[in-house]
Amino acid sequence: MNTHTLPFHSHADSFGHFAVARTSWERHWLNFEVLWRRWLVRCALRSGDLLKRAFDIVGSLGFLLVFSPLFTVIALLVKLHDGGPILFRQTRVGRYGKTFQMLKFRSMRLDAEAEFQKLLAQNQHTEGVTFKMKNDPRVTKIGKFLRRYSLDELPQFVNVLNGQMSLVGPRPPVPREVALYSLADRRRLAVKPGLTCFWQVSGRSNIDFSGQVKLDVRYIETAGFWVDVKILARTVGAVVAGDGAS
Amino acid sequence: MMKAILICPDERGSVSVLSEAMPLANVPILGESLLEYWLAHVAGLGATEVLVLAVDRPEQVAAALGDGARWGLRVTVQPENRELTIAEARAKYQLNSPSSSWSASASGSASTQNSKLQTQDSRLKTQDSSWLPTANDIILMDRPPGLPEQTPLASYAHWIATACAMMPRALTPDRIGIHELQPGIRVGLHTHIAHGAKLIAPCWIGDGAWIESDTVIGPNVVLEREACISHGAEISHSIIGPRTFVGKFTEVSRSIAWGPMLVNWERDSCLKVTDEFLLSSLQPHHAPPAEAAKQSVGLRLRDYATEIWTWVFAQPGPPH
Repeated sequence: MNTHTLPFHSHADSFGHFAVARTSWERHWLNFEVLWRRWLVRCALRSGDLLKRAFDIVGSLGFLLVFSPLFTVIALLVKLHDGGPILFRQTRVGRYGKTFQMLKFRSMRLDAEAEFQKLLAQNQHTEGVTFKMKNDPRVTKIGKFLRRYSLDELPQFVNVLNGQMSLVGPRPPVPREVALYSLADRRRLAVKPGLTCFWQVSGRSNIDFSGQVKLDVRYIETAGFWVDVKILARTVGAVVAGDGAS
Repeated sequence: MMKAILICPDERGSVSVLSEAMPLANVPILGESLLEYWLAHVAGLGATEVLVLAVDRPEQVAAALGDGARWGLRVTVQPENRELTIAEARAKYQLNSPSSSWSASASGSASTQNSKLQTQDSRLKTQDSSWLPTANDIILMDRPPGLPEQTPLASYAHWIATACAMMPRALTPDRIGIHELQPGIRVGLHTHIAHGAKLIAPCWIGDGAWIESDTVIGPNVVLEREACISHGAEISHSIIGPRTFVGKFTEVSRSIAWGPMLVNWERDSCLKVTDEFLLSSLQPHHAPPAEAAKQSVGLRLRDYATEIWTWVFAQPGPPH
């Protein structure tokens, strides 16, 4: 760069360490340049979070709008099947252990919670932190269909829009599970919970809990815009194939 | 129910620069505050309820902790008039209320009128609860857990010595992201390290640190969260504070650079750098990051406008 054409010397490397701040104007210019550079750094530091939130808002809003006919059909089916409420609110644990109400289409009978204690004995997950079983007798016929294609999870896009969840992130656990967590397991609560994560796209329910925590931590460490997009794409594939959920 | 009491250190004249923006208990050392290390420590020992006694800016301490759900604890922040010794805290909270919770004696004796903290406190009613074993039930947080010989609050030199001593063992099981890239070089998440940067062990690059090309980082350097090291800068035997901007070709040696404040830890002297292109805070007006994050877009815009306004109209005269 030909520095003689500039009213001030803007590049320190052409003058060594201190020559640039010889006069007050050069000093002012450096301070002004720093304003701009600090702004750039701040933007770069924040861009990840902002981009993720923007992606969440656009994605969930778009999805809700495009699939609103599907939502109507499912709501009608659930309502007409046994007349109970359409949505099911469940307390889940969000970022840093803060609880929130997660929405789902109701897939179980109305007396499901009461029967739960009896079923705890038949828990399939051996480590005892998570509860999951095949052929749960409390699930209704409609619910079985919804679960097979993960359609019961769709109202969570509202949670995403609310900012309680994100599109991609570790699945939010229920408080009963969190009470059993070790300090290391709690690492998966360090980010906003999401609709889908590595665990869901890599064999889904068939991984044990410690493997799940490992995958969640790996996600938190590698998270970025393109990782999110990749996970979402693979989730769509897994949901369409219907594997692991039933 | 296992209980523990953590006593926050009051302001110390020996490290006053660090506690300008936030109370000492909240000041990060290798990315986390002493309070966070101790909470993780007592949570690991099996505590479920923790009472935090804070003298200096208790509302900031409470804001940083929330309700303690992050560690699976129930944390209550209790404002105090002065820093209690362990024996005094034991007499006040442990011996006077042997079976019930601490809320009875605490709310009776507290003189600070912080109603929000008080309501949090009265919520905490537990019946049969025991205390952690004696060495860990009441802790004065003037040193990191597991390193009793380190006294970071004694002077700036002690602070940096503690940071260096903690580097190999700051990775508590609840932490994510710090990896040892090469022996002695530990790097956090979302860091930006340019190709030409030279890292010399031992050094610690905190989460979100920003390092440009042709910089030399190390040895014995700690970059706290979101420190920004510009092109050509050289850092050795120093700590660069959280969200601190180090300008082009700036050389920082044997110092603690904390926002615009520069402390020489060898001589215990400090000065405020007025030239922002050398050293400044990334945050306008050196606001603590927690507060800045809460600011609305409008407030932030106003801050930028003020910053530019100050630059245009309120510049000091020429140096000669």
